This record gives sequence, structure tokens and C-alpha cells, in this order.
Amino acid sequence: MRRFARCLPLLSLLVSAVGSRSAAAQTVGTLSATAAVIPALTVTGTADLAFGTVASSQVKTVGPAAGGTFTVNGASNTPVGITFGLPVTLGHPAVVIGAWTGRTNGTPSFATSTAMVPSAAPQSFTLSASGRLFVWIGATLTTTLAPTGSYSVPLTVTVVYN
Amino acid sequence: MRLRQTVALVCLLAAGAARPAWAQTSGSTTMTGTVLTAITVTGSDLRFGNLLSTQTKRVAAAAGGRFILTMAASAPVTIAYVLPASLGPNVSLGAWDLRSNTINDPATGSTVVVGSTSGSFTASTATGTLYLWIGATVTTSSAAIGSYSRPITLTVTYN
Repeated sequence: MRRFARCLPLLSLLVSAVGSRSAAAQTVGTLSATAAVIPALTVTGTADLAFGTVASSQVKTVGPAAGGTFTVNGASNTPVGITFGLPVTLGHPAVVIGAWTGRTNGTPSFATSTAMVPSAAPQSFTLSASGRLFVWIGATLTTTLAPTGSYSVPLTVTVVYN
Repeated sequence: MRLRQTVALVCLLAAGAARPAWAQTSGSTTMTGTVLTAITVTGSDLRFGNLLSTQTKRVAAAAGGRFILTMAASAPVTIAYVLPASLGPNVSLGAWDLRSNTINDPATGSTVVVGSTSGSFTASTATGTLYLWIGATVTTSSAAIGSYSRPITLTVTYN
């Protein structure tokens, strides 16, 4: 009986040693794979940049407030890159377009918009909480002995998520 | 009363077990053990960022998630991994890319072959630190807009 009593502490020691060894010799670590699926971007030209009627030789500027407009829709508060495909003429060498100006805003308010310079180089903007960005474009048209007629070329805007 | 019977029986067995010593037989064995440094595993997430509803995007291991393992130097360990097959409905994962190195440099690391979404490999480092980088390809197919996340689990055991 006494011997058995002496064995008990040893037995419990062995059991606890075996039980704790496997726990200490193994470690589990976890990280997460994450992604966010966001809505596709859309760009809509909502108003043309119209210079109206000009003389055969004239310089005419249309500011952004009265110029062409684009509306971008996408994921809220998400940065996007915008590049502009800017024509240098309206389809005839004597009808030159340049001196581009622009403004942007997360709301349709031109009054609170921010100035920017349209360019072929990517520029970063952030869509508003409602996922929108409004863009206004203006430019200067110069005609030099231009033939009478109507002129039109596309002005393209490319928007990508950054 | 039942307790007393049990005590008596146990004493008898104990006495029986002690009998070989009286026959002057002895033996010994050496019990050895090595206490090793506890293993630690820390990680930073594998982030795919923003995806469109239907899109395929690859994040290479070098730019992906990273585990840092610390353990006893030169002690072999088994590293078991469990990888998610998807991040959610219509957001599947595949083409897993796993690299390891004893220094924090994925470019000079070694590729660990990942056959399926679970497996294991052995490793041992002279420094006691092992870096693991993990990348994959995510494919969305008409996935719903939202945030997706699944765990990547690593279990490290001394051999």
C-alpha cells in the first residue's frame, strides 16, 4: 500500500509530461486571404464640348463650366486613374484645339469643383462616397482660314481602378 | 466498504509487481528529453485588393502573404498547411505559390511544391527563423459585390 502511494506522484508526473509535450511542440498560425469585389466602372459623356459657330479665322475658348462633361460611376471611396485622349484638331489642320482645362468633383456641383489639367498621362482621383466623379472639360479652338463646314472628333476618357 | 475492497486489491497488485526485485534482478534505462524553444508563427495577410465581378488576378508569393516562423535552430519541423479553395461563392482560389527562405528575401527563396489545398513539408533552419511567402490566383465569376476572407492555416510541429 505504501509503495503504491509512492508511485502515484510519479504516475501523475508522467501523465502530465506526456500531455503537455505535444501541446508545446506544435504551433498553429493563421493569416487571411482577402479580396473585395467591387462594381465595374462606367464612364458616361453627359454633354459635348461644343464650340458653336466660329469664323474661318478665330480663337474661341469654352471654359469647363460650359464645356463637356463626363460622369464616372464605381466603388465608393475608391481611387481611380484617369487618362484623356485629347485631339489636337477637330478633323482639319486649320481647326486646332488645345489649352485644355478641367475640373472635377465628387458631386455634380461645379461651384465646389477642383481644377485639374486634362492630359494623356494618368492622374489619380478618388470616387465619392456614392461612387461618383464628375469631370468638366474646356479648351480653346483656333481656326486659321478654315474651310466652311462642321467639324467633330471624339474626346475619350479612360478610367481604371488604381 | 467497496472502497476498502478496492484498496486491498490494489495493494496486492502492487506487492506482486514488486516481487521481481526480490529475485535480485535489476535493470535500468535512461530517459532523455530535449527541451526546445517554443515555435512561434506570425503572419501578414494575402491581399488581392479590389476585383471586378468577373476577373482573374494573380498575386505572386513575393507580394503576397507572409508567415514568419521561429523555432529552435537546426531542429527539423513538419509544416502542415491548409489553403482555402475559395474566398466565397464564385470567388475561387488556385495556382498556389509558396516560397521559403531563412532570410527575409523571397527573391532568393526556394519554391515549395503545393500539390493541393492541404499538405506538409519538412524544414530545418540554422538560424531558427523561417520565412514563408504565399501567393495565389483569384478568379471571380459573376461574384456578388462585397468583401471576402478565408483563413490560411499553418501548423508547425517539431519532428
